[in-house]
Parts: sequence; structure tokens; C-alpha cells
Amino acid sequence: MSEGFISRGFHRRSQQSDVSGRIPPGQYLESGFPVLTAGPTQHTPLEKWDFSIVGEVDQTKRWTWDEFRALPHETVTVDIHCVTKWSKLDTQWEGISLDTLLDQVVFDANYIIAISDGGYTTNLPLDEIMGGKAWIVYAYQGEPIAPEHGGPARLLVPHLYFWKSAKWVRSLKLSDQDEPGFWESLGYNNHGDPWKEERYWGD
Amino acid sequence: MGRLNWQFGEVIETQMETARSKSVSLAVPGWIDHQAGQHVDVRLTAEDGYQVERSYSIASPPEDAERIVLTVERLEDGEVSPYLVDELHVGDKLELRGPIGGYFVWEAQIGGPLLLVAGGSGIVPLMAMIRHRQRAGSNVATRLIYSSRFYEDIIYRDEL
Repeated sequence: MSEGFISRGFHRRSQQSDVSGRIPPGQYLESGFPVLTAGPTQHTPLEKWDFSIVGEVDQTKRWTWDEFRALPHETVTVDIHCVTKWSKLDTQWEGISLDTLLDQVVFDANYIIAISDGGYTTNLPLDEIMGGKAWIVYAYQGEPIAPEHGGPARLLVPHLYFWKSAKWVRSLKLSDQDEPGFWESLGYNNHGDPWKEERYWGD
Repeated sequence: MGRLNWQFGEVIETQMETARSKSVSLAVPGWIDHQAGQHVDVRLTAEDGYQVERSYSIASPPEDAERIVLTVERLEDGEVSPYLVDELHVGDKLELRGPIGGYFVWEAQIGGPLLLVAGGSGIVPLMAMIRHRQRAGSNVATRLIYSSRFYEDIIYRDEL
């Protein structure tokens, strides 16, 4: 469609050469940390917070906040990409690898649905979240994650668009079936690879 | 669902809404009717092939066939909004795809009451709802709470 098309009078204004190769197509570099949420910010007190793995598992697994925080943790520095077009580089998070969590259950499943306080859901194939690709994080840049950014704990799947990194996540449901989550049911891509620009249905 | 393909809109009218914001009316042949509250992705291409994309809310109601209006606020350090506000003229083509977003939408048949809350240029998708309400002949009870830094910055002041 756009073969050969030039936007009359448009010239590059941003200087992003130092980060070339790290910004996926259609994205721009953001230095702030925009807050985008479909519903109200959730505020779950830590004494009421728990995390569980449910669905196609031999036995539902549940951790209280203290039990969760006692698990082996990792610090990761990653680039994140929001489908609304901003990308943020070198964000530092601390949390538990999903490999560590799934190691503690016996399961037979190919997909997960992450379920959050407030009812938000997002779906992911298991092979996209295992092997050092996804974490449940509770600290950002060395501080507890603010509620508007998904604290006390959020999913972090940095290689996919950031709507997959569900805020206020409370459980993972393992499933044989791929069930579209919230945005995936409302026009957004089921997979969401920023490097392939999988933003919307049919991309 | 098929892919949302890039298509061209032709600028048929522009109107300054405030000192920093402008409405751009586009004729988009073959436009799929949107829902009030949806947005489009806009893509600009420079002569050297450099491309940028941004999302903009649609201000016009779905009743306008094959025509959409985007209202854009100019951000001083922006890359796309200064182009859309300062440079784009009637007759220019703009590459876009949409409509996008199936959550933050309202149709008259959904009913009400309708409580709309916006700050600044956040009014744009809500204006599509207000205009749709009027065009659809809906009498759903509606309240708009709209915050603006200055009186002069109120977008759609006369229409509201």
C-alpha cells in the first residue's frame, strides 16, 4: 500500500541512533513510564495477597506473600514495548522466574492464562514463558512496584508487547486450550511479538 | 479476522480547535465504520524511508460515512503531532489503519446513563461518543466532566 509513499514535508526529528536495533518497528523511545490501564488501579494488601497455580495441575499450588518472597529470585534488566507505541530501555526488575514457580507443580498443559485482581486476563503459550523468558516481579528499579505499575506483583514477559505483562497478577491457570484473554478478545493480537509488529487481529 | 491494512486518507478540511490542537478531516475510501471511542494508527514516512507511527483517537461519529476526523494536540518535543498540526494541509494524504480497540467504546444501543471523564486531549474519543449520541437521536442521560489547564485550552469549547 505504502510502496514509494512519502509524507510530504515530514522529516525525522528524533535522534535515536544510539539505540538503533533496540526499538522495534513503529515504536518510539520513551524515557518516562506511562500508565495505561483498562480499569481501576488495584490495591491488594500484602496480608491478603497470595499467588496460585491452578488448572491442569496435579494439585493447586498457593503461596502467601512471605512464602513467595522466600523463593529464589532474580534481577533482570530488559527492554519493554507497549502496543500503544512507546518502548522503554534497560528497565530493572526483581522477581521469581516462572521456571521456578512451574517447577513446583506437576502439570499437563500447553497454555497459561494469567489472572489479575480486577478481572484482567492474558493468555500465553507455555513455551513463551519458560526458559528464562518470564517472571512474576515485585520490584522495579530496586523499589516495590507502585500500584499504578502493577504492584505488589506483576507478570513480566518482556519479549512480547507489554499488555501481556499483566499488572496485579494473582494466579496462573494452566490449560490444554488457548483461551484469548482480555485484549486478545478485543482486537489485539493473540501472540504480540513487537519485532513482528503483531499488534492487532490479523497482523 | 483479516489484517487491518494500511490505507490512505486525504485531508479534506482542517480546523484549529485551540492554539495547540487541530482537527483534521480525512476522506477514507472503503473505511470500515468505527465505534465511538476507537482510534487509528497513523504512519509517516520521510524521504529517506524513516517511518514513525502513533495512535490517535477518532473524534467523529460513525455516522460520517468514509470520513473520519482526528483531533491532535501539538506536543512541543513530539515527532508526529507537530507535523500533523503545523504541516499537514488540505489535499495531503495520510497513511493510517483502523479502526482499533474494542473495549473503550460506546454505542447508543448500549444505553446509559453515560458518565464521561476526560482531561485535556483525552476529550477526543469522548467527543465521538457525544456526537454519536446526538446523531443517533439518543436521549441517554449524559454527563461530561472535563478538566483543562486553561480556559483557552478547552477543545470543542463552542460545540460543548
